[in-house]
Amino acid sequence: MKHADLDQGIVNRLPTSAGGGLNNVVEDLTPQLGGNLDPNGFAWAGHLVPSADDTYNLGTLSTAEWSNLYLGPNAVIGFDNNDVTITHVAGSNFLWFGGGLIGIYHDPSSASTPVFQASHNYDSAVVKVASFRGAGRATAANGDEAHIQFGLENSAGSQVEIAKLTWQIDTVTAGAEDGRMEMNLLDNGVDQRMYVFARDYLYMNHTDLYFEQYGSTANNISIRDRSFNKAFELDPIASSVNNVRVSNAVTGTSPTISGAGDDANVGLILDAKGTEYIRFADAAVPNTNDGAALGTTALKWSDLWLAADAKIDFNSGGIIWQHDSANDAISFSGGIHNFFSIVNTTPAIWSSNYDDSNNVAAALFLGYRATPTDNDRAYMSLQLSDDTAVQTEMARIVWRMEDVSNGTEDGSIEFYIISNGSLNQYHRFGAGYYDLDGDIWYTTTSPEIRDLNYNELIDFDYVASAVNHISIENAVTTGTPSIKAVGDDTNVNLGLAAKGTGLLDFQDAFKMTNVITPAQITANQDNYAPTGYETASVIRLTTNGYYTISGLAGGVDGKIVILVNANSSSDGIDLLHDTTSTAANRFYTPSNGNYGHYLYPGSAVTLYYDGTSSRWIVIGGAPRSAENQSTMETATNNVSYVTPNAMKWHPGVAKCWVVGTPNSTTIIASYNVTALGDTATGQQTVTIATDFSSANYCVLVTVDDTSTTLVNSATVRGRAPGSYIMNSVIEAGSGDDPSTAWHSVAFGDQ
Amino acid sequence: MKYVHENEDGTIALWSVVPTKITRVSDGAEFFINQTRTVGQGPNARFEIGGGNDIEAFFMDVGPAGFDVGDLEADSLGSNYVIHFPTFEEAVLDKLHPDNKVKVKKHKKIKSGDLPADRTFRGAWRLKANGKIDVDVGAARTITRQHLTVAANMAKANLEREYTQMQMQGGNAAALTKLRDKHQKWSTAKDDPRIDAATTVDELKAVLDEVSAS
Repeated sequence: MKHADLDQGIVNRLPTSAGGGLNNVVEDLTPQLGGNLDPNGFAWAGHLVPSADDTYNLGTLSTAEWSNLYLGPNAVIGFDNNDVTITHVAGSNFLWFGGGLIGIYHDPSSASTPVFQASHNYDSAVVKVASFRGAGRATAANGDEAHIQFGLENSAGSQVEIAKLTWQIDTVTAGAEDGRMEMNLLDNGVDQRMYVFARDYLYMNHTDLYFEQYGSTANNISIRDRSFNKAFELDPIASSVNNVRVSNAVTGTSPTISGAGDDANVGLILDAKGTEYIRFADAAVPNTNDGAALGTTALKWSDLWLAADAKIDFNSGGIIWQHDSANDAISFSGGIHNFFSIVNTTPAIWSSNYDDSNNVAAALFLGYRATPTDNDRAYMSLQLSDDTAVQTEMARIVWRMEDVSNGTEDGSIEFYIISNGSLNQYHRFGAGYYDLDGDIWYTTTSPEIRDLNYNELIDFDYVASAVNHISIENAVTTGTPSIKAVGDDTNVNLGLAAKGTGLLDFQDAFKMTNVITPAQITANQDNYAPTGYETASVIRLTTNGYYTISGLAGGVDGKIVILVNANSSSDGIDLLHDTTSTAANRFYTPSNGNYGHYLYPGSAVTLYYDGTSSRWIVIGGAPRSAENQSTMETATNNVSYVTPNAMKWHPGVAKCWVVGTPNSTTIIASYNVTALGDTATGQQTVTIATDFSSANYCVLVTVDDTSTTLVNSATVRGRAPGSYIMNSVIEAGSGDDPSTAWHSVAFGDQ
Repeated sequence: MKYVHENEDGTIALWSVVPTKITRVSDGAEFFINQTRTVGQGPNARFEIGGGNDIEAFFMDVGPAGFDVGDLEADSLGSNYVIHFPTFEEAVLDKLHPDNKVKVKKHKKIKSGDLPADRTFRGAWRLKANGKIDVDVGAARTITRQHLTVAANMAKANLEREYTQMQMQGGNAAALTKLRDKHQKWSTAKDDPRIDAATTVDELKAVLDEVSAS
């Protein structure tokens, strides 16, 4: 601002009473004011008006410009009778440009660009505001529009409009106004619009949104959010022909992101950045049922990670593979179908989780039963399928609940085999048993059964072309299990052999049960061959009297047979070495073959057949006892043995004796005495239990007396077969009992 | 088992009968008795019966030494065994010589307690009408005289031997007279008037005791 000294000019200052101010400036046709127009502290009063209309300037271009112009509230700068005004609007702090369009004129020769620049800066929000308003609408209503038009004007002042920026009231309600902005562009003279609505959307009334990047195509194109953060980015590819298509959808359908472009087949790649993933906030499903695959044979997914209890569902629950988080297992609902192998490998179900601590790898097959009960079964069916998917069951593995009691469960597993088209053979494992319904066929030459330490338990040897074998038979209660020889041959021996010098060790009592009781023998027997003698181990003989057997059929080298005299009577049986039987059936008896071997009732003898001598050898025993009274009484047999009872019959043996107390009936000792009688003074009578055959027997009597002076006579008289009388006297007519004892003994024939 | 039988002359015979067999109740097994014996010495000696069958043999203790087998009864071995006895006929009567058998008038079963305790006059025992065994005093007098006669004979033989020896040795007359007096006394002992006068066994026994003491 250039200062001037008002005092150096010629000024007629009006008195204050006259309203002040300058008056009558006449001397200088180009007056210039320096300093404030407030000379000598007097303010200017009244309007400052030029003397001629539209003649004088305030200031001059470039060289005499006023510094500042201060106007009061609601001051107006009016042009040409106010056809254009610039009015200050007090309280609103803006200028009102009246008179219509604002023309921003720019000198084409100037390099600068004309701009609208906001005059107000909200420093805190870093926002500068430039406001455009439409005017001339007395009462704003919905749909009212205001425009900013963009055009070009030629040198002749002809204007061509090429764009327009329109803002429109959607809702005029105070405090709830809605507005929208339209960007109107001319395309081939047709107005094309891009709408920007206040709240929801940007509307383009044409097809493409084209981003042209000058200078470089390396930068991606972004759509950003209101915070200018990238929300969407386009990655232009040079010469690209394929693109992403995003399709919206009508009610009930889904919008689509798809591959599009010139190529006949265009894929769609979803690619996360770095190590991050493509995430789905909702379930991912195919666009059409059973119309899309996850991966292809050429493009396979690497891993599939599923959450706890996740499932893979085939055909709406027809088959479900579901993770069982409680048991760390996969539940295969509906079975496993077409479990096939690829590229010549063997299909397998195997456990990938190896329990090192227990050295166990487990694969669980689980049947379902809401409430398991005893005998519930689940099974795994093993089948073969042909090219047409026709399946034939060949075997089945069944597991059965034996005892469902909690904590004490028992189970078994059964192997069913198709045999002749029927599922009727099984092998069964239970707690402590192996149930085999069929043969065990070992294909090794010497199979073995081993114990828990893998030591040999049973060794099976085979003989080529064998036709005979062993049968092991169990038994009912109180029955006896057995090992038998069986086979094609009619008669098959059963061999038991120890190893080396070992022996057969029967650790319990030996029992022979093939016992026969032939018909009663009623005559002497030669070549005795009762029914069943060939295999009998015990032959129980009965007779109706004493008979002899001179030979027994069926002798085989080493055979042992026991003969029992089963008579309930006293009838004995003699085994004689007699030529009336065939030589090979005869007996050799303990009496050197010269005498028979006598079988008492209730006694038995063991026979061993000696194949070398071709004779039955009577084992053990003794010659027949001399129980026969006549044998003892003749006292000539020198091969029979004497039994205690038979001893009494020998003629040299006392038949009875007794020691008695004198003058009493007290027996001190006796044999074969029935009674001792005190029959008189100096007399005792003895009665004999087993009488002599007559009274002609010998009695010796003596007395045991303490006297050394008396002459005592001990005599016997009155002998009868059953009694005798002992007398003791010391003198004639004087019977006298001995002081200590009577003694008597008798010999003779009974 | 114990029996008494009376002969036709009134004398009696006493019998102890050996059992024929024992039955074991538990299994019914029968064991035949064929002998008796006394084993051990002194106070430990025991009386046994023995026998058996073809399977088992035994000796069974039935009492101390001196035990009378006639005192056994059927249940003497307790409830586990039953003792079997022959009848009187089987054990005695049928065994006797025919000459003696015919003399047997009657018999009865007795027990040891039925017998008089003093057996001095055993020969005078009689089976009374009341079934009891008692001493017949008349028979006892005879027995007394028999005892005195035997004792006198023995004593007189000794006195005569002593007298002869003394006489040969020149013994004094007084001593010889004394021996003659003793001899005379023994000679008349059986004629002691007290014998005929005696009415009880005790009186007769007193005579015997007196003579024996002299």
